[in-house]
Amino acid sequence: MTAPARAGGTSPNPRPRPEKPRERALKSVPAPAGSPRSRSASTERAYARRAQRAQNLRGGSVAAPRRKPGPVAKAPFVVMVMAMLIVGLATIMWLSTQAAADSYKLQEAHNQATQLSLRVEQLRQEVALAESPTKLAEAAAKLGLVLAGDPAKLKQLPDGTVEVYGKPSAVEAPAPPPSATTAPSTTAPTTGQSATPPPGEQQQTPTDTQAQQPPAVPGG
Amino acid sequence: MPGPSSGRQARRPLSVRATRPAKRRGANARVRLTVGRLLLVSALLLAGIKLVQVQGFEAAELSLKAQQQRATPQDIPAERGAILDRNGNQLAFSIEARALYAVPKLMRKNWAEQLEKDPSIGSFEDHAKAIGAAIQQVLGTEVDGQRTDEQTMTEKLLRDTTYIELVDNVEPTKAAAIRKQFNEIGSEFRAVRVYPNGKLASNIVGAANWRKDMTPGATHGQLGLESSQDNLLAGRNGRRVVDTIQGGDVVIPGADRDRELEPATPGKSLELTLDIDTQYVVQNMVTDYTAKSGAKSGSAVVLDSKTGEILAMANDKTFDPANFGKATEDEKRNIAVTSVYEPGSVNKIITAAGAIEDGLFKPDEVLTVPGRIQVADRWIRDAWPHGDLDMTFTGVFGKSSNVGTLMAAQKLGEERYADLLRKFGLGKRTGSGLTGEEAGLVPPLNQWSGSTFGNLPIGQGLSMTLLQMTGMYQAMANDGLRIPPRIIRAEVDGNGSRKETERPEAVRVVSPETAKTVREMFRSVVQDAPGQTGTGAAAALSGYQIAGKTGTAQQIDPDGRYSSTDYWITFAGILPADNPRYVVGIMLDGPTGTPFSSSAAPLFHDIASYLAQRYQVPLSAEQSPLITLTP
Repeated sequence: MTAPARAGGTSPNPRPRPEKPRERALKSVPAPAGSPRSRSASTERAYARRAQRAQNLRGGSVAAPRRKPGPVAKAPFVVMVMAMLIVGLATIMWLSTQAAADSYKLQEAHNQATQLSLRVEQLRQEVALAESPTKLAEAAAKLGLVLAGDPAKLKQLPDGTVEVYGKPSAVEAPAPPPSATTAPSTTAPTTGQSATPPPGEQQQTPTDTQAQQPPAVPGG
Repeated sequence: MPGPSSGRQARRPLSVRATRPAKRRGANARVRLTVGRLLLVSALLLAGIKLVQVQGFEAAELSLKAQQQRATPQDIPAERGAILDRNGNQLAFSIEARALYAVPKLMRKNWAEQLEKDPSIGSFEDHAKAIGAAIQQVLGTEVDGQRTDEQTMTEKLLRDTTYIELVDNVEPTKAAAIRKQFNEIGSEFRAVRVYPNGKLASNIVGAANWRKDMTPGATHGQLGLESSQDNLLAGRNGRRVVDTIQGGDVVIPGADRDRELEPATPGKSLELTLDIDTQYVVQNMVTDYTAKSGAKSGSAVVLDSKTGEILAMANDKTFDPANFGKATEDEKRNIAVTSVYEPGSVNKIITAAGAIEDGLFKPDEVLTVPGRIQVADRWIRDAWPHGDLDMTFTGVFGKSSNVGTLMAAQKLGEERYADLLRKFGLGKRTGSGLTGEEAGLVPPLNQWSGSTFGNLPIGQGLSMTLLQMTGMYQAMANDGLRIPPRIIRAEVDGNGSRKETERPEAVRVVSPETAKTVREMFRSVVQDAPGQTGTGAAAALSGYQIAGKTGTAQQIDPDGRYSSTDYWITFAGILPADNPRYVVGIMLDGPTGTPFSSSAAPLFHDIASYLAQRYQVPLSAEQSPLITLTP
């Protein structure tokens, strides 16, 4: 950076700008105009350069066409680089904004997933609670259902006759009858034993002696 | 001569010719330039050095410091495994919850600061009231037995304390709703153990709760399988690091701000051998019958005869696992394995099996049984007075004759009998996997006194758990092959892969033929025929052959003698005897004063009847023939 300022004078391609201080310095030298004083070789060269510069400034026909294509050729490149930089910058900004936005979206999706899994957990809990035999028994009792107790069993023999084991007995109605629902509910378990209708036709047939021995209801 | 030298030469005349001030100005500029340049270069150098220092030498330390400032390590709680029954019904599982807490002192201070800036916000008391009202609105007035009404909450918030827990076990969504309104209310992770079946099987499953005193806090088992299998169920917590704002626990969102160091390993789930439906019914029956019989306690065990799996194990007393702190010691115990008793006549099956196996007796062989028999210095009688009585060998057990049994036992010999006791698994824990299991007491052969051999065959002088007793009958049901009972069927890990637990090694007790003969003999116990009625006729189930044995053992009085009022009433039976599927053992401790006090056979009948329905056990191909007990 500092080199041209000092060696500018010797540059084979002298440019007006770096030369400026030197020019001023040269101007301050008293004009030699036809002075008979002999000049040193270096002074001679300085004068020659000055003359050359003057010619250049005046618009020397030789240098001008050579220099002109310089700025013209560089302009599109600079514009391209600038455009690239701007586009690049814009892209980076856009991408980082997108990334940030996406990370928020992701966070939100995460939260939603967590919420949903919590909901699933809660529902699972509700199902498990509702499925528990204790709750089922309570619900059944509310509907007026009672345990079937000790059912009688039917056994079909190879000859087509049916043997009855045990004594079918109706279960007791639930103690506190919840109004109208009692009547149908008490009959339901009895028919549910499925032994009631067959004995109607089978009761007369001699049943197994053993079948009648044990009490149908425990503790009887 | 062109070049830098010519430039320098050109300058000299200029400086020489320049006026003085001009010359001074030029020198000044040069100095300034040099100094400026030096300064810039040194600044650059310094910056460079600092850069190297910061990026090179101090990099690790500084980045650590920075991380410490923003990074907060957090535990990723591992999900605790569930406990399931054999059909996949959940007996215990965990759900996520939150505990809400507040820092009243800090809240008050912050509020006072804000109040100075903006007097219109009202007093802290009003603010606390507003929070209390919001909590009540979201949670209602009670959560899990904790009061959450406005008044209680406000009172807690106004307490002069640094930290206070407002309410535990809040649904996460509700906790979030409260925190959205008042972010000064903190919420903490909790896992709640849910027992959908409540008291059912609680002395087997046990109970677990959230342990605040442990770091990190986690659910740990306190009782039962929850406690004994805690390592398996608990899993391992993971670790992650999140970036939080300084001085707070607000997590900065962003994908790279949440770094998982180690994922959490969820605990394994346990699949038990229990069938919760059977357990429910048996539980109810045992509770009812224990109350009906006036017993201090009662329990029943149902085993799968082929696998030795425990299908149901019910005690009359259970506790609510969600509130186990209030349970009494009696309620927490699983007396089917933690309590030992003398089995009484149920133990006679050992003598029967030994005598048949060794070919000492045939089932229909007639013995003349006297009214009493002397063993060493003691006379042992039958439960009912009689003189010399002819009985078949089957009848000895059908009528539960002590004298007849001892006659057979003496023929069997002490050593052989001791060997059979061992083979039947007595005096040794079954290794079922249940907690607090007792081994029972069987006196070793070398410590037997003269009268010991007069006691053991009739089920006195040795003790066992109900599970051991049921196991003895399982051996007979499974053609002489005893499979130690077990409660854990399989382990299921997080991704659903199921690993069956190793089956316990089976023990050959007697030959299949002997087992079959013994089963046929013991059908006589439930026989009800004129003059040929067994001691447990009430256990019979029409349509099925039932083999079983009643037992009545005298308890020991505080003074060390056999009591004449307190008994252990037992029953063990096989359903059906011709094609065994289930084995049921029942024990009632000290029933007294009711018609049901003398026998557990009716309870066996009820349980067997339910099992036959529940598992659709086919009726026996043939009904039990009439067996002669006393010719």
